[in-house]
Amino acid sequence: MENMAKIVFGFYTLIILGGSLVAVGAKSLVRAMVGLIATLLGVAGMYMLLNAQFMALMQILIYVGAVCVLIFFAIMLTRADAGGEEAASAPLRQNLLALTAVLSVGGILGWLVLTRPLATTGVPVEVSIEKLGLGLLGPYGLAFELISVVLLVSMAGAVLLAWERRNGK
Amino acid sequence: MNAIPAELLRIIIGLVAIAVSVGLIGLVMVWVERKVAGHIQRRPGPYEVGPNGLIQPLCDALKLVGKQLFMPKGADPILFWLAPVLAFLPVLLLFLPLPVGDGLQTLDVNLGLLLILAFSGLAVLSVLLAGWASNNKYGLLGAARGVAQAVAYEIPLLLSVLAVSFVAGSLDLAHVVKLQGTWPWNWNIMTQPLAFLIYIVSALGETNRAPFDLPEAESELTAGFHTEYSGMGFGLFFLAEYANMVVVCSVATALFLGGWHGPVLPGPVWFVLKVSALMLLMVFVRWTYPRVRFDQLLVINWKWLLPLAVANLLLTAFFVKLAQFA
Amino acid sequence: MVFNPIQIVPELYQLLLILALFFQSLGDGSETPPAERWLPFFAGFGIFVAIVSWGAEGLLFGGAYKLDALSQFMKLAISAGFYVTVLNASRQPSLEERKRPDYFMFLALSAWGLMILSSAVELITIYLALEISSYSLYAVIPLRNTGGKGDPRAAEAGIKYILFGAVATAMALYGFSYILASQHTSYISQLAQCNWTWDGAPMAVVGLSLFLGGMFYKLALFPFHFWCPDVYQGASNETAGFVATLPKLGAVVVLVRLATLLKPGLEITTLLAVLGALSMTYGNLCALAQKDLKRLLGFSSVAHAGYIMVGLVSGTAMGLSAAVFYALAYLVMNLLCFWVISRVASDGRNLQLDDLNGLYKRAPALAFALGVGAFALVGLPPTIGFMGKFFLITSAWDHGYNWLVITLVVNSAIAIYYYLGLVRHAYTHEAGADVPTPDNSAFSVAGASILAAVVLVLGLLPSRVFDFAILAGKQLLP
Repeated sequence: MENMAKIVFGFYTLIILGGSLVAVGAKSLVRAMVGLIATLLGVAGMYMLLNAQFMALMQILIYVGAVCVLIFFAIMLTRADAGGEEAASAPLRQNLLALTAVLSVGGILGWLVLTRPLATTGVPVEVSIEKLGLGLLGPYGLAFELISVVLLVSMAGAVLLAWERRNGK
Repeated sequence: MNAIPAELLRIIIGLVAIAVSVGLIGLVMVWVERKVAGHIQRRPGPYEVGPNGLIQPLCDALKLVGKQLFMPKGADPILFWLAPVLAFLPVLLLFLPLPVGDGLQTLDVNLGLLLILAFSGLAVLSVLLAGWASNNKYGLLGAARGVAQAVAYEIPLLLSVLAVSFVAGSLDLAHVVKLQGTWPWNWNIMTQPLAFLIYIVSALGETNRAPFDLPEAESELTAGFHTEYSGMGFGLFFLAEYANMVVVCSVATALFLGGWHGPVLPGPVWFVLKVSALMLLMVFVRWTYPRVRFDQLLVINWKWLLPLAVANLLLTAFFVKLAQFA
Repeated sequence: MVFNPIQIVPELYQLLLILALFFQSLGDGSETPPAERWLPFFAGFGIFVAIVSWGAEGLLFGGAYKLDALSQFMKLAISAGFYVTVLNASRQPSLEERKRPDYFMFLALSAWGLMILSSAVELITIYLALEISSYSLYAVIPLRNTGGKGDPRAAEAGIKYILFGAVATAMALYGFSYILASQHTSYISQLAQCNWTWDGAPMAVVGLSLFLGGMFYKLALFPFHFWCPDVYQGASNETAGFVATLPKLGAVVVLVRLATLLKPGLEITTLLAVLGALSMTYGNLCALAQKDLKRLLGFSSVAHAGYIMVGLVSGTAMGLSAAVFYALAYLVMNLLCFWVISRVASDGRNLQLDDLNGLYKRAPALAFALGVGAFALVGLPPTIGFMGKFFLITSAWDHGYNWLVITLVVNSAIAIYYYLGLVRHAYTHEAGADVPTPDNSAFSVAGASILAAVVLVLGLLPSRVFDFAILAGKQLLP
């Protein structure tokens, strides 16, 4: 079983990495979007592997099913063709700088994870949704309520900035 | 060598059975739909090929398989072919947690309902990709409509389903079914009639069925998001649509209509009967109601279904809490 | 623990204001009195409401919300700051009539988020409270109307703020995941027991540094300062007056709470000290070259963020108290400066240094108030700026970061040049042709004089307020 888990882990990692590379490197915004979706699905798989099924399904339901679709909608409303402004490749210097940034941060973190691994806490235990719900309304109740305020703010803000009243009304 | 785990074996057998039945259902549904349409419009429908035209869909399917696959100029080749696959594959997953009979379930997960809801969201994505990648204005329009519609109708659908799972205290479809009884007055539809109504209406919206078939409105957009697809590209979308209908009706059966419960006949038969009745209802609705206008579609959702669903959910939560105290 | 609503009455009152504004923003505004008329009175009343729960103590909401001297001190400061900014924004020329209720609602929401932030002692709650405050500002910054349509500079500022904010947020959350992975808790009280040395828990140290990065973004500390001058410049004067003042308080309060984890000599403390030093130097050097008044104040906030670090790295109760006190000083000084800017630019333009020329003739009271503000920002006696720096220096000396203290002193000397440049322009230059007509009404003069009086009085008699700050510090680090 453990070997199988390792294979599955590798598979998900490949999906995540491949998806993120497409998301960053694709010329067309829609392809980048598909890459992002692949990454999110891979992450959902990782949750599954950690025995957090609820998280995995929520990841798919919210991120893939809702967030990505909305981003997609926004892309469609803009002119996102391959000949657009964002499709031109960045100058070499910019690419090099980006690469350095990625390598330095990723290097430090990678080195950390490889040389100072944390003690794992054994086989992941499935947390039931009852427990999750009690946690959200108990010790994290305030945070849970604050999220709704954050949503209110972002929606009201979007309406304020984007909505034009029809003439004179 | 280790033996293959029983669970895995079960899933493999289940998947094969699902794939076969999806194909069969597709064939049968095409025939039913054309027959019903015919009789509603006072014509016989297909009747040349086979008895009462029964073989007609099979011939159509063979024709589809044999057709050349075209891709329009300027389309995005990867995304264009990804879309129909993405439309069809997740649908197979949706069948996994459906409880056809007592213990007759491919995958026994306690989050079955959530699994269905999560993966049915991928269908929108395929509509979007298909519409965008075909490089066709009708496709794009259909896709844009598809998103606005799917995003909107997903919310009341979720809320109505949640009301039932509040009462049952579980997201496991089999568990919800077990809590219901043999006779119709023991089913959840008696306690949650409003949720059932909301569910059916938003299910029509989610599956892009008439009167909410605006993403593929043939009289306005040729065929909407799948205008440019030929052969099995189109066939996969077509199959996925019917499969989605089956899933939606099965979930309704399990949640509201007592699932496999019923007098005399064995469970799976009742399940299939109930699902077929709901499917027939959807077909009848399609051929009897005119298509709504797009603004009407959104008004129905945001001004009626959503507030009603929220009110229903709040009331349900209130009564569930009350029942706990009592 | 019995839940007593009196304890959180400032938050509840603020929430009530938000609700009132929300319902007003739903209507077309013809039936209700305009928001800018009634809100200042109620916001002013909020200061008294904050006093009601002054001595409240306790741990609410499952231990995620702590009422102590620090939180109540900050809530009072936030209420007062909110009052002044609302009053300041009530005569905003560049704000559309029908967007006013929304505008004030977002200001109120942002202040509310900061109030929650000042009491939050759990990292997720802290993060969410911070987001409420930031999201509100994202919506407010692009609202600037010049010549009948939206100002592109403001839109640019808004986009910059959002994008930088998103990156900072992502970083903070990423860091948070590392903290959670290695320390298994998100409550500050439990985190304080943990090991924060590089040798002991390198992952937690990296995580905390990243999480702090998110706070540094709010505070505009080097190297997270890029947005600061641009946003001040792009947003309208009144909005900038809010963005420059209140959110800094929120960032400071979180940093003060997190500083209880840090002992001098830890790697992460040294990192804070280095960033503080860089921030001061960079901010001051850049400010020397500025011509736009708000850009200048933007770089000045970068420098001031560096000053606050001096108090945080000392690892003593005195240091934390000094940081809290300095945050208050920063609030008052900047409120004063932005008040003067908003009144001088009565047509809503961006002030250049040359626009101040001859201000002493055109608006003597405002010119004097600006002088007081500039002196305070430099840190000259007898202003609150001097006392703030004095406390910072005395608390930090001999706690291992003397070089940082010296940097602070050197930087104050650099800063004299450009702050006093403001005074020089106002008093010694003669007015050119195209200068704005300053607002010399009683409202403008009274506001400026009261703020200037606060700056001077707290500079002369800081002991009462500083005692509160010390109490707050002692409760955190007994």
